[in-house]
Amino acid sequence: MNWTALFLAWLAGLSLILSGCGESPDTEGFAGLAETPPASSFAQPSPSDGIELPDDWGPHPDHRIEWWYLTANLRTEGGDPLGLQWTQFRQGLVAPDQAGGSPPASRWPLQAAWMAHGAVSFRGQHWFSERFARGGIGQAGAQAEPLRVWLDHWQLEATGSNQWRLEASGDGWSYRLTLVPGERVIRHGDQGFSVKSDSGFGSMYFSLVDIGITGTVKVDGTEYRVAGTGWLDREWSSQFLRSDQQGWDWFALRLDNGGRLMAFRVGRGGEAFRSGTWVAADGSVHALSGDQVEMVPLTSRETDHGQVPAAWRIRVPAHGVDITVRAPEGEYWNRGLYPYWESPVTVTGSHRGEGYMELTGYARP
Amino acid sequence: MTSVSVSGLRKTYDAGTGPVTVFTGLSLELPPGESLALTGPSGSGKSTLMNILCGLESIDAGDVQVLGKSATALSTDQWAELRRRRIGVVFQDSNLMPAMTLAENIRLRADLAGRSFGPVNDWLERLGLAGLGDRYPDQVSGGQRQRAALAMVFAMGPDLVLADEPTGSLDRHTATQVSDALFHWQRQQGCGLILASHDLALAGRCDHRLDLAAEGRP
Amino acid sequence: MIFRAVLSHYRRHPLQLLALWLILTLATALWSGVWTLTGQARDSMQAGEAQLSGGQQLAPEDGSPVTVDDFVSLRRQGLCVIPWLEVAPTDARGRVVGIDPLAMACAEGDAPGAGMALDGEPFVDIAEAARLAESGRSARLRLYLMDGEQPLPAGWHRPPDPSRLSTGELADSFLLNLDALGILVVLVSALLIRSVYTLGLAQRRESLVLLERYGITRRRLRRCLLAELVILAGLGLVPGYLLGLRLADGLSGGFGAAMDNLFETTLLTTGESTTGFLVTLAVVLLVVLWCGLDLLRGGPAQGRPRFHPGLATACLLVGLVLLLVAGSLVTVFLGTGLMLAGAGLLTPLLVVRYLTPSPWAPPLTLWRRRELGVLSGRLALPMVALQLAAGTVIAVHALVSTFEDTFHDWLGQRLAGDLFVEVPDDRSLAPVASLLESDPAVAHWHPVIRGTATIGVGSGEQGVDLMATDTRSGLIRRWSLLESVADPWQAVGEGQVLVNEQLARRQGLAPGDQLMVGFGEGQRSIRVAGIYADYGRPAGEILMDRRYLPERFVPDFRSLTIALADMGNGSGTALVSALASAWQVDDLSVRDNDTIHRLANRVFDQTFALTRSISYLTLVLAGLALLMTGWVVLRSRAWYYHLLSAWGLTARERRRVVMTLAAEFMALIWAAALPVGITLTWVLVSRINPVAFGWSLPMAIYPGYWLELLGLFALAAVTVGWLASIGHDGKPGTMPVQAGGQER
Repeated sequence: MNWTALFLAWLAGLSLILSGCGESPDTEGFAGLAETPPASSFAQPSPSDGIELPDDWGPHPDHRIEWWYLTANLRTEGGDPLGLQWTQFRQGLVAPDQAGGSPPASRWPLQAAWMAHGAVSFRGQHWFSERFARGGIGQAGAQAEPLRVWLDHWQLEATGSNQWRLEASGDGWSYRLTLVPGERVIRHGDQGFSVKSDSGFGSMYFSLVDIGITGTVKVDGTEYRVAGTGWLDREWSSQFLRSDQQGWDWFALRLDNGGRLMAFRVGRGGEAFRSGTWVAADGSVHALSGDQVEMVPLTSRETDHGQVPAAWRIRVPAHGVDITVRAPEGEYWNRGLYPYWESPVTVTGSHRGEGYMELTGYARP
Repeated sequence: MTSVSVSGLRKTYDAGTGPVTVFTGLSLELPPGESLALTGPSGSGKSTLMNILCGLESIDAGDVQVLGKSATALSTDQWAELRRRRIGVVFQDSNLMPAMTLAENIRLRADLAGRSFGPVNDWLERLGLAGLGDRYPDQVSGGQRQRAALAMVFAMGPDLVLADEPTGSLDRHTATQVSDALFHWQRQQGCGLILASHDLALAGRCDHRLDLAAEGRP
Repeated sequence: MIFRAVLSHYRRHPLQLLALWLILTLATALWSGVWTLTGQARDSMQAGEAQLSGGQQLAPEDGSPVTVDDFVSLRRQGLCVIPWLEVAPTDARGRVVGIDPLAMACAEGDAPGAGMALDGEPFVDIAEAARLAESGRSARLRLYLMDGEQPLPAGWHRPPDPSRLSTGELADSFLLNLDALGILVVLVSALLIRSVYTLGLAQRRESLVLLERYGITRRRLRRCLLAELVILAGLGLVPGYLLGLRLADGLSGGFGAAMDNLFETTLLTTGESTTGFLVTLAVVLLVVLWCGLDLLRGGPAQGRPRFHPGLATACLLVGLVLLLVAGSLVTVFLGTGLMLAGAGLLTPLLVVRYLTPSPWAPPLTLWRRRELGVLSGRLALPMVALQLAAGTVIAVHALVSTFEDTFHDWLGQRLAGDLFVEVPDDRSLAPVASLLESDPAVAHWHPVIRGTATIGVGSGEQGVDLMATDTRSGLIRRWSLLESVADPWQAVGEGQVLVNEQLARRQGLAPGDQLMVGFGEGQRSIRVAGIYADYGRPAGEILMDRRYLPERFVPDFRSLTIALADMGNGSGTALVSALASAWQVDDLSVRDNDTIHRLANRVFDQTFALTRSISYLTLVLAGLALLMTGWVVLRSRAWYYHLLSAWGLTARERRRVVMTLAAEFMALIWAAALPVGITLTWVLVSRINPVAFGWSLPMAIYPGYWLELLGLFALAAVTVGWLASIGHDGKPGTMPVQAGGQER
């Protein structure tokens, strides 16, 4: 999930760091930012693609962008809530038909670039680190069977049947977790094709919404044993956000009655495109259209990077959901090349629960 | 010729809070070999007059003659020369260099006056300080210190002695001993003596007396 | 209320309060300044060292070439390693360096100096460089570890880069001495504060006694005084600390700019560091405690200063013995401390006892000497402080000058010649030897072959570094030797060896001794012809003529050192091309000695300037304290100077006498500082270094500098004398108020 704006940011940043070099490796990749849909031969996702597991855990070189995106609401032994994030992005820079096969690593190929984000939120504080790597030399990559997604020493890896291990570390934080992914896979939209704009562009998108997690998290030199539940999004596409679509608000919520809600909004104001998925307590999955989801910012929080709507009212009347979603005290900016807000949230109202919220486009330039 | 003659002396000084007039036409005369007592309460100008008479303070108007020289005509260096060789000054206390023995003090003063310092021990003996020459000032009594100061003054063979409350910090018995010595050696050497004191008994032993409280004041 | 009464003293003597506050503030400034400056000097030394030695490279221990897989493997282990693919120039295009901007992201925000601004030519994306390399240009992949703190992975090491220069131990030694200096500065300024404080306290004795008579208990009084001192120290702390930072900033500003220009990085960051502030605070507290100790024990020390001749002599003797037999740095420092304490205790005693004039001296001379005795007694503490400060300044000057000279000489030796060319692997020297001999642009040249050998130690063997060269070269013969047999170069030309100082000290070798040297194919007994200084590293090394190397000796590294006849008209570039074509290689690794030399000089000159400024600051503080205390003491003698006037000295004569007095006092301190300075120099140069590093620096003294210092002291004397003698002309001083008033 959580895509377009982030990639805009990443590409902007990437072009910044690459501009240090004499020559850009692939100008076409950046042209994709233009308003017109890219004329490249990256594959466009469609409902007929469907989702094939376990293959779709692996990379999709035919598509321009994709990510593995884990957020988790955990608790320490002392009962303190602790949120964490691990994300790995792939950005194809050369379309598969132009690549001419896989060049050897000795050529330092730059057909794809990888980026990873790791964050820990604990007691009002937020730690974040960012890493980059070029694809094609083994420094970063992904494979479906057995599952392995890595960049440098950060790694998500299957260690047994229905068991994964996740390790990452940065300045002042590290974690080492055991994940039990579970059997249930939620396919969003139409057979996993999730529409992202009125014009019908979309992405392939599925989620694991109840990952059991145990392990240790270390922040500022103190190690905590933690346990809780995580949510993993898997998404790929070739499409960027339309230039008139500003900002991105996304929620992934686990409610106490067993209900699960994913809702997002692309753009701001009346033109915003809304969508979502409701998973009822009985396990039935319902795609939500824009008029079925209502998302209203309630309060605004003044932060170092600008005003952030830290509390929201979300209504899905068809399923009796009328809740308030609130970030805990603190600032949850992922201060990477392009800062965005990624915070754990608590849910009150018609249901109680917890989850994660991602907000982009609010950072003051 | 007189030892000291003063006429029409006017002196005002700035006390910080404004000008203070001390003398408005003071006159006095001291024949050679005679003694004059200056009396009066504190602030009547005794010390100021003493300073004027040894050239350490200037005057505003009038005529001051010391040992035949006009005060206003003398340069500060000439004044220094006069003090060095012919005027002996005795203060109430602290007349001796503290880091030197009594004998060394007397020797230093005599040396400055250009006298031979051979008879240093004689002078110690004459003033009842025999055997104390190697002592430092803080190792002898207050009376002994003042007698040593007198030894210094008379060892230089002065023509004029200016004594400012020389017994002011001594008890009566010691004071008498010191003043006895002072008058004895003044007469022996035949030098002039001006003595400032608020002690009327002491003042009474002088040939002349001038009460500054009554004299020449506004 | 009592507090007000206690403080009332300062209402009458505001200058004393100001002086006490000033000395506290200035001392605090000195401490924080010294803390910052030593930090900066340390940083600059280390940064310079790192720049010169280029220690960030990472290479496989087995010497195999670095591959992309190596890079990936290291990254997967969590190391921030960045690739550097250097492609040799061709006629069409210059040198190209391929970098990976994505990989470099992990180095951002690291220690200052670590980040790189690699913009534009010759930097390109590493894929582009790899493409050029595949098209036939020779290329070499290197890896740089951007986080120097991380432990190296197994199988990897930081290669000693023979084309670079390591100042390793010389720098370490300098930094150690800098630390010793910092401690001395703290001690000296603590002495100063204490002396100013006790002097002020003595002057308040009367009013304190009066308060006691009014029924205030002594304990309460002491508490008040202690509180007063703490408040005053607190008031001085913050402005002093900030002043120190500004001072350090001002002194090092030019330095920072120079480093910016040199390396395009900011190496120095002066900032309010918590540690720096806490250290300053701790020192202030300790000094206040020291001053307050007297109060807590029962009032300020009264009466004349007490002398401890026995203690002083014992301190000196024990200190000296410790210094002579010292086997560890702690012992050296302890010995030094004892020597200094002894000197401090002994000096006032010597002054008072042995400067007593003959009673038959001219009376005015006698008076001056006696007053000098009084001053030495009353000003014993600030006098000793100034003595130690001046001694420190002398020692630091000698140390810095010695280091400077040693650095320059040593750099001159090691960077002899204009060009330093790496001999490509598998190429023989023969094809270029004739070229170099015949080229008129070449003035001198010699090859340097480095490798390892063994020496016989007892029944076993020990590895040492080996350097073989053509010892007939004029460049080599310029090396100065510490000890040698007669005509050592002739002897080396005939097969004898030179050893470095480390090896000579460790093995107890002297010129003329026999040494068993093994080259992997049996041992040879070789005579030692001489010993040379080698400050760069701890390893032992032997130097021999290459003609005596065994045929099958495998060198680790070979290079050519070339001095050009005329550096001007691009002859260097032409020569390098000629060498490259003679060896049939595309590219040669060449070091421009001149550039490195200039770089090294600039870096180290600045470090030395910073160090000197620390010692001058100490001297200024000591001088200031002496001015203040001297002025107070001389003022207390004003009556007696007035007495001189009453006794017929002219104003000029009196001024001359008082100034002579002050000058004699200063000269005395200066003279007392000389043995302290010389001893300290000896300790720093000849004791600390051999104990810590196994080699010593040549000891040198600089009498010219002593005279400069004397001039400074004369200036202070004139100032004090002038201050003490003005304001009394014609005006009588006040009689001393103490009962008796005759204190010696």
